[in-house]
Amino acid sequence: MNKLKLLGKYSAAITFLAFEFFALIAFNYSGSFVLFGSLSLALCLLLVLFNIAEIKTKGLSSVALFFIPLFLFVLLTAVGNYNTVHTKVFGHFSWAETVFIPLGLLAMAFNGYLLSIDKNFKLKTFITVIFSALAIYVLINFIYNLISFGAFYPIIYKGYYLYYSGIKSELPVNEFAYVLEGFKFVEVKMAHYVLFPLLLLSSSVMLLFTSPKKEKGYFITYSVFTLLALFALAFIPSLLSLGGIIATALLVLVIYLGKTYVKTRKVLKIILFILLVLALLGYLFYVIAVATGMSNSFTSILDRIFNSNRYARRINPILINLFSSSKFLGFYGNQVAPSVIDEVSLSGFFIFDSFMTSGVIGTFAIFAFIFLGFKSFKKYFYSHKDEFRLQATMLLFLIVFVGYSAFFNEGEYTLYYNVYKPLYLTSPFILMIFMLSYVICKSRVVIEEPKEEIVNE
Amino acid sequence: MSKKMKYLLLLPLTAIVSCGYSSYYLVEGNKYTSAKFSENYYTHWDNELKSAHKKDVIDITNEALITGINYSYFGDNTITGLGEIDPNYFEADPGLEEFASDFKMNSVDDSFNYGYQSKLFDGQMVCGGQNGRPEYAYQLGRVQINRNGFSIRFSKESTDLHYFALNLKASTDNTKKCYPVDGTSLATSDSQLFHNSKINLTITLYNKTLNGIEGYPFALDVEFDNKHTNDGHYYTFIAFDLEDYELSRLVGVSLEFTVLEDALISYNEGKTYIEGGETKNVDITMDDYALFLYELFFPYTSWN
Repeated sequence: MNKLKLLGKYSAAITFLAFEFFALIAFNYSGSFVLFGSLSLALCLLLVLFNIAEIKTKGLSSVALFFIPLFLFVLLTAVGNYNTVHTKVFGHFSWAETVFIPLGLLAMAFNGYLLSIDKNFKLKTFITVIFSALAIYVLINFIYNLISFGAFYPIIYKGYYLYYSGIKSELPVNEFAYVLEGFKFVEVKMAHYVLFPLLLLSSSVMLLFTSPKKEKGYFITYSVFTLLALFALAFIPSLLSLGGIIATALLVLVIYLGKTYVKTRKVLKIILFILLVLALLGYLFYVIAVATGMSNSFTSILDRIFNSNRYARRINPILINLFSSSKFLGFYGNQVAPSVIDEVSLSGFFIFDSFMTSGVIGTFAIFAFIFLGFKSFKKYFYSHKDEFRLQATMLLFLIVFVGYSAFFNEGEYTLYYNVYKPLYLTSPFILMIFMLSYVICKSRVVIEEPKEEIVNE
Repeated sequence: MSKKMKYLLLLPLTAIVSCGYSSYYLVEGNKYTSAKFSENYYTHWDNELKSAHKKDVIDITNEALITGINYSYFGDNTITGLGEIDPNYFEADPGLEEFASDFKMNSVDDSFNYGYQSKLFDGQMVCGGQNGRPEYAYQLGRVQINRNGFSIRFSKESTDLHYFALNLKASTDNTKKCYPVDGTSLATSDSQLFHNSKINLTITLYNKTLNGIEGYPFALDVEFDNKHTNDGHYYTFIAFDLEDYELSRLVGVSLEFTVLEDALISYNEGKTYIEGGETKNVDITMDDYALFLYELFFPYTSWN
């Protein structure tokens, strides 16, 4: 038996290890990119080492082109000033961030490829693992919030403030919640708290395609996930959680209708296409109008939309002067340093913040990668390589994450500590990179049937 | 439903029906940060402390009060530079900030960071627009109390107790029209208003015993000589030794005071002024006398 075969013996154990790594990431352990990135890299190295014989036979080249946008994104993000000045993943060693962050993200993308060709990797286990870990995280946060302020506290204590270290909280208690970061619960903006139960809620689509009689245990598990997510959102109510529940429920309905009724699928496709085109045009118009200064001449309602509202006041400083040579690539310079008066903070909208953290090219590169990933779902669905309900759950997880983060990603989410954590350093983003990469590869890489090997005894 | 499941369900249910321990630390809207002086008094009293049995008052005006205070008294000979020392108090100087940073309560445990009373544990000894945040110029540092006093129930319990220290100043509502001492026309600036006053301050320390919580009231007369209300420099620092008392399991503290004399208020008593052709009474009274508390310490105390 050659050495490669010997290594292959351990590949099943490595796949199991992969599930454990994914559990830690989905649990948002410590909220630490250093950990997530390290796990991604370690997993990547182990998978390469123990699957090297497999890799040789699978066509990596057929999917390599799809990863160019991601490569461009991580490269521009890593060298961008926001990353080197602000993120401080490694304290003051900015060179480490420049090297480690792209490596961690690319390693996770490569893991997507490696596990898509790994015969031991079961998507069903993966989905259950990440949602279980996410459920534990949501449960811990949920219970801590209830113990801290009681159920429905955003309504009961609306307009109340917390004092910490003698300083009044920047936001009233109805706009923040506690989440676990490392071994400490910290006060975070509500948008950050809502993200995790909302992601967990995306597992509810599984219930529609699972028989409660045939797979009782599986059905109960996902019912618990769904209920937990709903409780975590409903007992700590906010407009975001209400909107999130409604939007997720609609998406579940769309997926169900799309799967069940072929005719509906066609109508849905047209509606979706029109909505996407409108959203894209609106978005591009907003960016161009603000970046070119055109919006300054707007009056009445247009002025209100483009300039005179609290969201625009956060977004526009990022877009203004966007097309000057250095900022175009994400070099926002010292403007992001907290000591400077004309500080530019993250706006909370990933679709705009990304211009600051990754530059225009980087932003459109990640958009392109996400688009390619979503587009691959069509091929992935028809490939029948995985069960539909698993594919649908993954799709909904991705839609919820991308849709929510586009508008409600608080990179500076803590109330009392300076945390600069743009979207690309968060655990769901890393999971997104893996899932998109997995889908792209799974739908395209042709897996050759293993040939019988004649072993001479 | 199995027993295990029932117990498992109890956990979230308990959490749901619990009233929330942190809600105790919540403060409504602009409470304590109002532009109106009289709306900023912190008067919270913990029920258990208020109803606790109190021992006889111990007068420490001339006995236990640390006179000629210096850091060596607190067991550290390396820190110096406290400025001029008065028999019962001394004015703050940068040395006090160093003291604060060494002994501030919130460095002992994170639980001291929560609540409005955390202003007394954050190491901020004086007021001022620190850290480039002028909006906190006066609110950041102080806890304003009146003669009703207030109490703090600690989330921790001490295992031993050595010293007590407090930084404070006297104050009145400067928005009220009044005459400066010996003045014949109404005060036009804060600098004309200062306090020559004497108060009797009662600091009650609450000790946990087998019979419940017992209060140890320590009373002392504190004099304020020419202390300006609205000035960042005139502070009074009080400290005394607790080692001679049977106190170890400290669970709370309360402060009350009575005003024995105040030259500014006494001078204005019965005075009138004319406004718009109308004669009006000067409206400053003893009810407008306040204490600004800045920092409270229990140096070298251990907490469990």
